[in-house]
Amino acid sequence: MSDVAILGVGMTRFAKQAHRGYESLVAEAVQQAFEHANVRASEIQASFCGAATAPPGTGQRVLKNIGVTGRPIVNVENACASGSTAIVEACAWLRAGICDVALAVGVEILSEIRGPLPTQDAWFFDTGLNLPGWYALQASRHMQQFGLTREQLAAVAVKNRRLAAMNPRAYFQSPVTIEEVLSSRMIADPLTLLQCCPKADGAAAAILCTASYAARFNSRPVWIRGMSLTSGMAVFTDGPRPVSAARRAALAAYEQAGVGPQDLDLVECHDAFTIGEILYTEELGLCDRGQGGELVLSGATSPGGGAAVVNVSGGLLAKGHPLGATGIAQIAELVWQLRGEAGPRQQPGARLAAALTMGAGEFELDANACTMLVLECS
Amino acid sequence: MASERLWILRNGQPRLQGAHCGDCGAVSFPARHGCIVCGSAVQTIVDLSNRGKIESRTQVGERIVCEIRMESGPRVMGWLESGELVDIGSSVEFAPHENELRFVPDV
Ligand SMILES: [Zn+2]
Repeated sequence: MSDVAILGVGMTRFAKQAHRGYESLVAEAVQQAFEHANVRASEIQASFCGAATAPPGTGQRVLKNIGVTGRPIVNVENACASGSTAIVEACAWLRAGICDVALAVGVEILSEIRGPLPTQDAWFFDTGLNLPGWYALQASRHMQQFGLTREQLAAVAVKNRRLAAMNPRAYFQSPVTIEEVLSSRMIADPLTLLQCCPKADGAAAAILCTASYAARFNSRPVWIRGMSLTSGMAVFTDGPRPVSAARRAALAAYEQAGVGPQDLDLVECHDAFTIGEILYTEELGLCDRGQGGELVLSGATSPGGGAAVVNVSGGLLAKGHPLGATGIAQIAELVWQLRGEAGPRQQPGARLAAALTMGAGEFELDANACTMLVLECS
Repeated sequence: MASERLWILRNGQPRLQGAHCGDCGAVSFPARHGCIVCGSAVQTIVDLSNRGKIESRTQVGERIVCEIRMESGPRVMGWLESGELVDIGSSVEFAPHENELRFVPDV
């Protein structure tokens, strides 16, 4: 399979900035990516716009504002994995030879929504369940099954807030202690407020191209060595729990890239809630199932800890989670790291990295969508 | 042959309506037009047992929201009135509230 290159990336700060509107957020992220890639708007042959709550037609609306018109625009919705699905779609078009250079952009405005995100009309929401509650159910099960502790959960928030303090684009840029995390307001037991990502506004963008197009540039592109997209499987059956969408996505992307979890230097994974990082580091194979709490509390996934550094950007918990932008922002962080452009939070010698992005909300399935991308810069 | 309702009254007793797949044998909840496991359209609506055990639970607002493994097989999602955060493994019984899947401790 032919490789796809990422020529450049961009993102806004993730913050409360709803007044700016979709156009302004997207313009900042995409024009930053054009400059980073040394590509002009007129060179983009196809665009993919990820958003989960934005109105229909958002891609056309925001891209005309920066002069991307006339060429194919695809609007992509896959819950919290909308942005990373836009990247997967762009890759598919590039691999298929439909175009040579493509734009993936994601945007969301969430800060003016009060309380948990609104949900669809479904029987399982009539129970009172919401997204924090859904993650809390997984946390409770993990505590019962494997002895996961509240302190281990809190350690995820502490690590990611500490790392985000070095990221000028992050929503929160101040550290917190385990005590502060555990004593914050209970949202859905065992998840407290500081274990839930903030509802941020923002955009992120990436310019992708074929290997032959990349050869025109002198820059060092980052290569997509593996990519996968899975959907969830049935939960409310008389069988065992299905093999998770995250595990299936990880295995498929590893196989395509010809690598394993032990080869990764960096991982961005979906910590919308603290339990997310613990579950997904396990599903990624960074540790055995049931050991994710110990992995983070031991410091192994902190810089210099010996394992892959997890969520060096600050993750969704500290950087913020504007749904459609999130998956592309994960990729932006990895591109900066792999090219040695990450400033004070640069991880020395990073060469191979992975991003796992999860979308949920249809709770009869274990996930809506999960993407995994394996990136390399040689 | 999806059921219009999540549960019905049979002989005065509320009964959750699941589906039995004529091809793969899976029992799932709720009933649908095709099997959620294998896709077969050969589906029979079946009454599920009213008792189950809590596999996981959390408190959201005033309610305890639970994943429950029913004695007759499938997992379902339901809620209990607030109070003690019931233990995982506790037995509960289906006691619908309007059209919602409410459960009560099974004593
Ligand atoms: Zn079946």
